[in-house]
Amino acid sequence: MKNIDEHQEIKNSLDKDVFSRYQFKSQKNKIMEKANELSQVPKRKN
Amino acid sequence: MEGNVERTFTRNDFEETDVEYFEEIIHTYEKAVVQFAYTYVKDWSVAEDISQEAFIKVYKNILSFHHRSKVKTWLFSITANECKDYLRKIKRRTKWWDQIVQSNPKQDINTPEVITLQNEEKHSVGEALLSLPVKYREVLVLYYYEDLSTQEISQLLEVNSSTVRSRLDRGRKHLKNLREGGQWS
Repeated sequence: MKNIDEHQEIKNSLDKDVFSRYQFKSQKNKIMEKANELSQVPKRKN
Repeated sequence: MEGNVERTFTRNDFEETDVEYFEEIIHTYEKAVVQFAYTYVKDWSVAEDISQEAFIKVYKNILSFHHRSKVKTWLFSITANECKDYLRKIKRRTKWWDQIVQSNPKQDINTPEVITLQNEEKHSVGEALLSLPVKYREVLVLYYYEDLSTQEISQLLEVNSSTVRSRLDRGRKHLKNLREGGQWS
């Protein structure tokens, strides 16, 4: 069983003191470009 | 949201829904994967590059994924391995630098001012966690932040459940020690 206080403290601190410094910007387009470059990957049907 | 991603499909299904399914996986886990990678490499730009590679590996191997684990566990396992490969490469590259530093006369860097600063910098539990060795850091992040069970962590990191429990226990103790003003040695 997880200690709930410990769990919340670690989770909240990682969010507040570490992950909040990162401004998320999706790289989905870059990933899809790379995926499409792979010969075995079928191209998306538009 | 994760429930939509955790599904099984046959090769025929994949032919029809491949791109949409892959995009759904990216949409669901992208931010979490970058954050998870950051806890290893501590550099957001490197973490983003690693997450791209991890997703590409998922795409390449999606047909051979037999859903013995969740997509999330599989994706995070790939990410962890990519991060460890990166850290190994960095370690090799910087080995020569360490040798130069070690060959210079030692200086006492642990002056009272430095110790005070270090303690102030490590005041938050999240930051202290990131200063732990990888083997403790990864299990603590997966257990407390990603809310995975010890069994799922064991599968993800390919170590025994008992090893996961022992690393969790030691990791917690080291974390407590760091927070009480001690230093990791």
